[in-house]
Amino acid sequence: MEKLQKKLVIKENSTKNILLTDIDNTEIYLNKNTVLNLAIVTKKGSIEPKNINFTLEENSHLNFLTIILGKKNNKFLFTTTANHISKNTTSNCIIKSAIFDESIVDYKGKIKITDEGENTVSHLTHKSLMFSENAKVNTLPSLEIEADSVKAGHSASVGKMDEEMLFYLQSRGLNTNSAKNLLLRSFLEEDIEQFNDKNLLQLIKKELII
Amino acid sequence: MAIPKRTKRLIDTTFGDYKFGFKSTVDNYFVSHKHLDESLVKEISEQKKEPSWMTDFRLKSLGIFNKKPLPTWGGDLSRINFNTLHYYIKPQDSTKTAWNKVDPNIKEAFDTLGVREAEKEFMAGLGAQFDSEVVYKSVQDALSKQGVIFDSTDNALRNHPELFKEYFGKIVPANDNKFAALNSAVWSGGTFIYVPKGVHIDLPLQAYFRINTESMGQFERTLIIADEDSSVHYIEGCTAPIYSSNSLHAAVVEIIVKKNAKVKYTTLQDWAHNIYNLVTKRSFVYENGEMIWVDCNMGSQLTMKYPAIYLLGKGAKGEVHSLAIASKNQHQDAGSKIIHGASNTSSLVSAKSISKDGGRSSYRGLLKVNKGAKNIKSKVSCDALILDKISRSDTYPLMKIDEEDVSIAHEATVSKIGEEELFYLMSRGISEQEASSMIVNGFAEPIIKHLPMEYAIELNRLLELEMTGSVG
Repeated sequence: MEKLQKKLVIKENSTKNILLTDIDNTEIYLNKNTVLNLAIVTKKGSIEPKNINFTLEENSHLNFLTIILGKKNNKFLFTTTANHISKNTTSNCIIKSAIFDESIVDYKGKIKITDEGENTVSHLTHKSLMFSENAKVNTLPSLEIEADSVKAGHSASVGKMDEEMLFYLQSRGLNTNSAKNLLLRSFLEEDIEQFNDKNLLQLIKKELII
Repeated sequence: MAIPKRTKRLIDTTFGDYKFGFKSTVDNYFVSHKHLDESLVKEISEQKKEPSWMTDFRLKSLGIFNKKPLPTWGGDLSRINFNTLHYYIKPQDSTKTAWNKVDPNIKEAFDTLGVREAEKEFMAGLGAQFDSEVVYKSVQDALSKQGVIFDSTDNALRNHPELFKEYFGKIVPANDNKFAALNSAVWSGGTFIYVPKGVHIDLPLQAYFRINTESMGQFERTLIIADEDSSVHYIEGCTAPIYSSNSLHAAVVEIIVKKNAKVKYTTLQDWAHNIYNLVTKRSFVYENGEMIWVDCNMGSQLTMKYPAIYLLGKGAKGEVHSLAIASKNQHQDAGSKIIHGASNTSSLVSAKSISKDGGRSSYRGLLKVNKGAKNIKSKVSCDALILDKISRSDTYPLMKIDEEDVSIAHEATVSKIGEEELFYLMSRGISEQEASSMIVNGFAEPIIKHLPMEYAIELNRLLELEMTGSVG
């Protein structure tokens, strides 16, 4: 096991909004009746693989969004694990990666629900948009479930920019570059609305200006 | 007075813990000693009067088997003792082609399994495997005239040596994994199919496998070659009686789908709950070819099986439809592997699993797009149903994409039988038991619809039996 350098504990009955600009080893503990909105917007890769672990106690809720802009030969190797160890918890993890040049995204996402985790609702999504034939994406979203009254799922998609959408925008008078930029922005921003907090939303949007 | 067969079958299916758990006594002609070493491998090869290249191949494979460690991922394999298994049993001196010449004990066992009826009504030809050799086969005359070869793998080695040597061990080499190496060393039986250019076999070809000697390993080897513009559907059903010690089934299936050809391979695995089922299945698909695996796993103690499709020619297509049911003390670790090695290829994986009574089902899959493969489309979906608190479900779908021009979608869900669905059905006057059973059947339906009718009915009935007494 990787040594975790950072530890974050969300106190009982509280809500926390956090924005980070790189992926780092982190152990996050959500106590009873808590809400954590965590966004990571990153352009910086790393050589070392990173781990982010979430542990969810009774009635805790996690909204987690990671946006990756991978350029040049930046590597993004990381694992996230959501441990649902008690009842009535929810988690929603979304990873968006836009991959250019020779950048590599290697992601492992895990949802673990122990037999104590009744009424868990958990979902994990990894969407990737490829901009170069030398870019690479590996994704392994996994589920390990030992409880029965749960709703859990994951989804992943990989693709390049939709030619039809590009054509449509260009037929409306946009040049190729701005049409591409617009589509990229919509890809990156489509999931940020899940955060209700205005400050956090603004911070994310600021980070996303390319 | 003897019990009529139909009644016996009914009793077995209704009251037996395991519906095919009857033993029949057959005087085996040759039983190999148990210790796995070079002399055993030589003895098997000698008994079969094989050419020397095959003996060498077997010995080389044994060496690979001894060197490779047991896989540490997936299920628990530590309890397999390779020195207490029978590696080769020959029940009769030669393969019989007429039903009335077959040993009456074997016949009765098959009658109880309903193989004959199955053949009469739906199947084009039948090669039934009883222990290690094909004891009964009947290929329709028309098929033989068209040049179709449908034989036991042992016979094919004797009768079609050139064709055999060209393809044998090319798709799954002996050094692929430990169990492929074991199979390569001690293989016996299995089916060999060659479909010539332009020949379409409309009715499915069928084989019925059965492990019948206690702690015997069954190592059948199947090789299917579909030449250009041909098509074939092959079905294997597996059952085995219950014994106190654990048995091992390590088959290797190799399939070659040439240009514009189409192969469908259906498995219904209902081994007894003390069998280790560790199978390597792989197909190479060339230009505009199509491969479909339909894989239903209900039995065995541990199944580790990942049917693979290598899409090697432009425009090739691959599909895997699988259903796994894990009950008490069972671990179904099944999945699929798709490798996109050429442009314009597409694939579809639809996997469903049901876990109950403490069973564990896992989906383990790989989807790989190689560098240079453009315009790839793929969809992988996994759905799991958990029926109680003590069961477990895992999903590990790995995706490795080295290209840009791809469209790949994956989704997975895990859930229990919905309260609302149950309530709706019960409000229509259906009992809770029946309603649960209906929901489970509905869940499995998309996979079951790929099966030939008789098997679909059988599987539906098995599902109902399996679900008796379990409400989500």
